Amino acid sequence: MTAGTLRPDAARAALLRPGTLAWLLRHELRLAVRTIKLSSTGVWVSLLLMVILFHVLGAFLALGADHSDAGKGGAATLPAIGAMVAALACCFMAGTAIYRAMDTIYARGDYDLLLSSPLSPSVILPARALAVVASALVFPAAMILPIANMGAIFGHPNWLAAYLVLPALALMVTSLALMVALVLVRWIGVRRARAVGQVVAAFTGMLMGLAGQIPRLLGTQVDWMARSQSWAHGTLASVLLLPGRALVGEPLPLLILVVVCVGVFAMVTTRWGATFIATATAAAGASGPRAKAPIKAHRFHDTLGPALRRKEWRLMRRHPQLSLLLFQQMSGAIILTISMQAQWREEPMLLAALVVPMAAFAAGMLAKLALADGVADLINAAPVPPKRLRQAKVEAASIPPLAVVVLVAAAVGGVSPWGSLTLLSCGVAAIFCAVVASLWVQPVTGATMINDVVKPAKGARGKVVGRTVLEMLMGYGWMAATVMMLHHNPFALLVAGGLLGLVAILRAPL
Amino acid sequence: MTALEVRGLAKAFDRPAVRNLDLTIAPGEFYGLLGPNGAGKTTTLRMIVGLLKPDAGSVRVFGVDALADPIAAKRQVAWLPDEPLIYDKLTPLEFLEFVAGLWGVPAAAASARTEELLHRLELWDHRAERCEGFSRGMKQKAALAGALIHDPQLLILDEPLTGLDAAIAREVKDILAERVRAGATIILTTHILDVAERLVSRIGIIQGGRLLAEGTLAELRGRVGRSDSTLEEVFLDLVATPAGHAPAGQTPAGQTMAEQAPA
Repeated sequence: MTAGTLRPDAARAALLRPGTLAWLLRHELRLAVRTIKLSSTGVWVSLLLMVILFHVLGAFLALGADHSDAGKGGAATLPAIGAMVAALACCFMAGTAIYRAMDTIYARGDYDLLLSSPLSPSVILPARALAVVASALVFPAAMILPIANMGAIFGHPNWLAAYLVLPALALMVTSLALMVALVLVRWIGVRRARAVGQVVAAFTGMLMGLAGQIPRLLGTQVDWMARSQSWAHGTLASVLLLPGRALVGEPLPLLILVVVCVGVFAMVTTRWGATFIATATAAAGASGPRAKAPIKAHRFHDTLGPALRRKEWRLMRRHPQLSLLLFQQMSGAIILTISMQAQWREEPMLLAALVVPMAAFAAGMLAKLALADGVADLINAAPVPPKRLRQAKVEAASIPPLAVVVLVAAAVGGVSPWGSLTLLSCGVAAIFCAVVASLWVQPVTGATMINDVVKPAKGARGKVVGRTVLEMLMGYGWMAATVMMLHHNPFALLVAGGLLGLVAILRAPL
Repeated sequence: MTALEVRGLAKAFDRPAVRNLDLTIAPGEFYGLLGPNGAGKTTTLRMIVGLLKPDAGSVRVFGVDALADPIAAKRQVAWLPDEPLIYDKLTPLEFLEFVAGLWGVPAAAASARTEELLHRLELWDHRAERCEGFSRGMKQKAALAGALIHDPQLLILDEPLTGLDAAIAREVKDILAERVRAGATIILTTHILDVAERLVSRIGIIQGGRLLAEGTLAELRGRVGRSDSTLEEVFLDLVATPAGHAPAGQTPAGQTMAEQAPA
């Protein structure tokens, strides 16, 4: 080996020299790999099944895109489809990236260690930003790359450009998300920025779903496809279609996209490093003492119920992610509200019926918060039977959505007594079912209790997935029952009976 | 009647944590349960409090079978671990209101006791601030107030002085001594042996899940044959002896130091 040439191991050592970005990335990667437990055979089998399933779906979608392209007679449609796919991916990525960027600022983790070290901010921010990129990329990559793979098999090897385009878009989206997070903190303050950022993230994530409803809201019968064809030429179109052209493997757009995205990421992470460190440091003091509220006379209770409920309501109200969680739970119902506007304009009772799934989703969410007690040892050491604790938590979770249902039912009462009765009965039943679904997964209070006193329920992870499906089923199932009852459809009883029967089968320890 | 009577207590996780443990603690006693890290102290206390189900054995609190009637036993017990059991999003006032509700303290008594405890622990001026902004010492004081709000007859404290500064630690020790003078029974684990030496009336040394030695400091000194040694020296001598590593059944658990000492 000639002098001045580094041997491979020496080059590797130089690259991974402590304090470099590569060195910090290796550390982050090692931590991430150890967090994801891939040791179990079941996990590997599940992953393999998912990969196969996504590729089967990808094959259908690839064939569909290929067919629509051929049907339109050439290259006009594919870039447009590609641009839509890229936009959808960007929406998903933006939602995750903003959420994770806020988390990156606020979650302490090993920040105290990193920030107290002489590590440069221009090393810390890119490392953290790449972690955000990775998390933002997972879902869109899992959805889109199988389509690209199957497209390559069906004669479009250039679709494999998705392997470059998606990470490039993730870099760009993450850069913007970091800027949004930092600007939010600067504008609205350290205390409130996290909650607002989470709502912005959730809203961004569902932007495509909402955007899809805009034509409906406008109420005009516009041929959007024809209009988009007329916009397909010109400067704006060439910019908007660039990600689509890159996604289907056109070399120049691909090169431009990758260079621009990597450039933006490099610029943001190097130039905003100091701002990021300053913001993260400021966020560390966000949990410090608040301004003193006027001290009111405090009321103690002779009985257990009110004390437990008040404590749960206080903790719910002060939960930093409650607004985000509720927003996420109800996003489907919000889209449904918009998409059903033609129907509820004719029949306003249908709009009132939406209170049923919303109340169910809220009750399920609040029950989950209440049941996951952060200080389980305290309540488990108290002389209160676990059943009484569960009941108090269920009451605390059920009463707020129940109050909303009662209010809506009362408002409707003057117009339609039958509608009011229907809303009330279906609302109560939906709340009950949603809470039981939560108890099914988390039957006892607190993690300690689950681990120590009661043997951990077998298949608890499967139950978590099952709970999500159940919650959707209960919310929309009871909405369907409500609408059917409003139309005096006798099959409503069948639906209601089925839902209640399902809950009875769960045998949750209420 | 004993304040606490533990017989044949056993618990295993991946390996045995507590083996055939016997303890008898009289009312009004300040008992120190000492042992090296991983000796089984916390596991023992968690089983007594009812947070952990024993594999074998019995626990009686003031004559009540804690395994058969845990609710009745828990009414008389307070549990204070090293990590303060408080809700960060509640104020001390709200926290004490909740704990008083859990233990069924009547409203008037809870109100008066809360005011008294918050003044005593110098938290009164912070009563309307959320605990999330508190220092560790303030959080531990809030947790101690929670443990004392129902006037427990048996206080079980697992490393209550960990991380506290000298002034707060002194305050906590004073309060514990007052509680004992008022007739309460206290079981305390600590690694600060000076504290144990000055505070507790009887000491149990646990190692490998077994009771290695038990008695007053004088009795323990007699066991190691050094009448002028400190508790730290006695402790280190005892845990260094092979008896600490003896297989199950070799050391009669629950036997006092005096009983175990050679004639």
